[in-house]
Amino acid sequence: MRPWFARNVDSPLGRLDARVKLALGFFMSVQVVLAGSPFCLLLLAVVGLLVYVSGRPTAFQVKLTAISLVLLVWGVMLSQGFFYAEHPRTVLVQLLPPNPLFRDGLNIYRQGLRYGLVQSLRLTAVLLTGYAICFTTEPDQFFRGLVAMRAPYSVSFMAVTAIRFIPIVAQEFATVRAAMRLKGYRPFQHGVRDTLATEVAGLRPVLAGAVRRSEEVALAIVTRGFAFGQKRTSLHETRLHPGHWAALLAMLALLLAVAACKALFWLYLAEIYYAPALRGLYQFTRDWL
Amino acid sequence: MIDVQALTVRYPGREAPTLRDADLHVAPGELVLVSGPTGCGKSTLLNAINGVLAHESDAEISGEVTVDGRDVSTMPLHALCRLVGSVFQNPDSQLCTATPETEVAFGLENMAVERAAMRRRIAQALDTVGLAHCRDQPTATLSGGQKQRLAIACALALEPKALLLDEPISQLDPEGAAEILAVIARLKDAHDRAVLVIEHRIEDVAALADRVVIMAEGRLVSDRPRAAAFLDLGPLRRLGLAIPHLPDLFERLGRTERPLSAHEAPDIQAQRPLPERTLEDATPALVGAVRGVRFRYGRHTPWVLEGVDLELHRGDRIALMGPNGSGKSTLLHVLAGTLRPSAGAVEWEGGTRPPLGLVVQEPDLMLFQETVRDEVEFAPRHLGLGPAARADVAGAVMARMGIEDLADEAPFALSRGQRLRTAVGSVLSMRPRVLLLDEPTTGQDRDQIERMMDGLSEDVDLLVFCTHDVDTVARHANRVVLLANGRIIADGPPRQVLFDEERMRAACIRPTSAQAYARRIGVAALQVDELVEVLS
Repeated sequence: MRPWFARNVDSPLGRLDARVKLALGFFMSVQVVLAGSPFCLLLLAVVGLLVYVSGRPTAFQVKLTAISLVLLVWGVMLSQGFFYAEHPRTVLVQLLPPNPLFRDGLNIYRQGLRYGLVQSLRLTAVLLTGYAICFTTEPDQFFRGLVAMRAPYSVSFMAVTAIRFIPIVAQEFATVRAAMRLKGYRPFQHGVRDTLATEVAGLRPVLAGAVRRSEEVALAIVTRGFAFGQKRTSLHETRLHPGHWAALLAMLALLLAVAACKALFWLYLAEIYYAPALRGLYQFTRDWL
Repeated sequence: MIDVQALTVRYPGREAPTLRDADLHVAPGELVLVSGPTGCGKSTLLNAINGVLAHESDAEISGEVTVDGRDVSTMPLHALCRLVGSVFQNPDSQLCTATPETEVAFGLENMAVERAAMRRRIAQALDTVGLAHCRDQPTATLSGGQKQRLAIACALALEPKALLLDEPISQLDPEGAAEILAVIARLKDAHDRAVLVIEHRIEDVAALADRVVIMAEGRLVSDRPRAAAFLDLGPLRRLGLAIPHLPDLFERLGRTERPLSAHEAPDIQAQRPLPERTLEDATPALVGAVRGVRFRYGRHTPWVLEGVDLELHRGDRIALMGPNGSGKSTLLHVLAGTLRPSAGAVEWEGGTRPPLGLVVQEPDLMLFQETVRDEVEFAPRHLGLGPAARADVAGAVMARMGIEDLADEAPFALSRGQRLRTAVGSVLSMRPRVLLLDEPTTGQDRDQIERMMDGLSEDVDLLVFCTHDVDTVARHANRVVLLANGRIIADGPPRQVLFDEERMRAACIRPTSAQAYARRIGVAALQVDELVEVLS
């Protein structure tokens, strides 16, 4: 039985080198910025979904992802629904009639909701990929990946160690909340000021615990020879397999191809450069990218 | 091997030195136990020897510390770990990678050891501590004892000349502690290494030690070979330390022997029958009942509680015992209502839960106010008491817990024992009818445990506490519930349950040396006091 905090390292995505996964995250982040058409964004969201599924998420992880996605899509749609400024636009619901503060009233526009839905596909693609990477990569793998990518050892170590302690901090926070509840505390029972003061005070033991733990961790690692800028060796080889190289090159090639298409199309639109031989490429970029 | 000469350490902002003129010598192959009350400077001594104090603190240091003839203050810290290995109290915060293999490799990688040599040393170190079979298991899934053994393996892999262990068993259950003690015994027998162990639990470690050093207020007040260490127990009593049971018994019987284990002790004939217990028994009146409770943390996780049935009577002082993971804390949280059972229910008399207080395993997480007084007044304030009434309640509770002099102190500035008593006080001020304590004895010295337990409200209808401390159970419980794998395997008076060897073994609970001795001479005594009465 896998504990809830275990990563799905044996899934197809989990077996990839951390560097490939980091590159995948980077690839998706840049692609969603480059992409503009609903089709392309939908395609990226589907790719994100495939990446996510290949990480074989647990039920808990799926639940967490679903909640995040619902909040994200709903938030983007609603904000675009309210503040959509293009025309034509159709009022779907009027929340406030026109007034000095809102000249056109406070409305939700149909086109805004649709635009928000399309835009949320960008975030959906990145979120799914990001979750999939987090769910399938042990902090250790991240660490080795970062070090192999020549990231500073000490910084990578500290960042990864901090990640490792997040579940403990979350657990401690839950314990503090339970202790406060058992001592009769109920938010807003004694007014807003008291609630704010108590909520802030509730962070004190968690912060104190984090400071104490960081001191203990620091003591433990310095007494095991950890020091800034030292020469180190590594237990694990950090060589990439040919398959991993192929994946990296494929992502790079695709990224460069899309970037080149977009750049050429932009030069054409700006009337800086036009080549008749590229007419097919212009059309492809306009219709699909 | 370890030489400390005239060492005095004063931390910035403190008037009194934390260590004063300390002299200590530990020879190769020697194991020295250092004990003393909280705050006496034990950890400072350890950090002086491993070089952390000289390199990583602003403390004023005078005197000299050498290991293997080399001055620790002049060597770079990262090079010192080849000379001195350190293992600390909390296994969770000294492990920072995903598996035992990578954890042991961490230090070797820092030392730039070549890959082939690294693999050999990892295998050797894990084998020494008996973890070779868990080499690739996620560290998070190891037990407390396994994690602490892993920490020892990490230190050993660097092949240090001296090994320092700072309260290595204080956070562990009896099974985990026994694992660590077995490793320490193996180290002592197999290597020519100086080993220094700092520990409150003197009884557990003393039998392995060659010498016992006692510290108080920054000084080494006693440094004797094990055989002579317990001839005079006066200093240990004055310092409120946990005196090993059998030396205590034999001194009180006026005998000269100071055995540390039951098999070393000579037989003594009982002179009179065992006295009746002084703790009041529970009444038949029910406070509540746990009916068929099952619990698990997720749909796909194993059951932590598997059909627990338990009747709770007025006057019950129940000790929940069992190995880590047996479901003790979960049962306590189910009783408190902070966890909802997956099946079954907790039924309280009258249909509503009585006022209930819970002290969680890490009492520091219950301290969030600026002063001790605010902390103790927090619950009465939120339960609607006026200023005068809550001041009265808080005053009475602080007096009972012995923290009235600390009323205006910040809780985080207090010692561990004082923080625990403040946390208990903050719950007692709710005037609970039911009080639940989750491992209140972990990491506390005997004096602090007694002060806390003595201060617990006698007008609480029901007290339930989880503990591994058999001594505390013998003193403060009138009923013991043994849990193993989420099921109750024994439930009865302490004398009956603690003498049931088979069930105690199943629950991974080890008797104290006094109980083992009592068992050997055929007396059903649980405490030294009872043995003294029977044997004198």
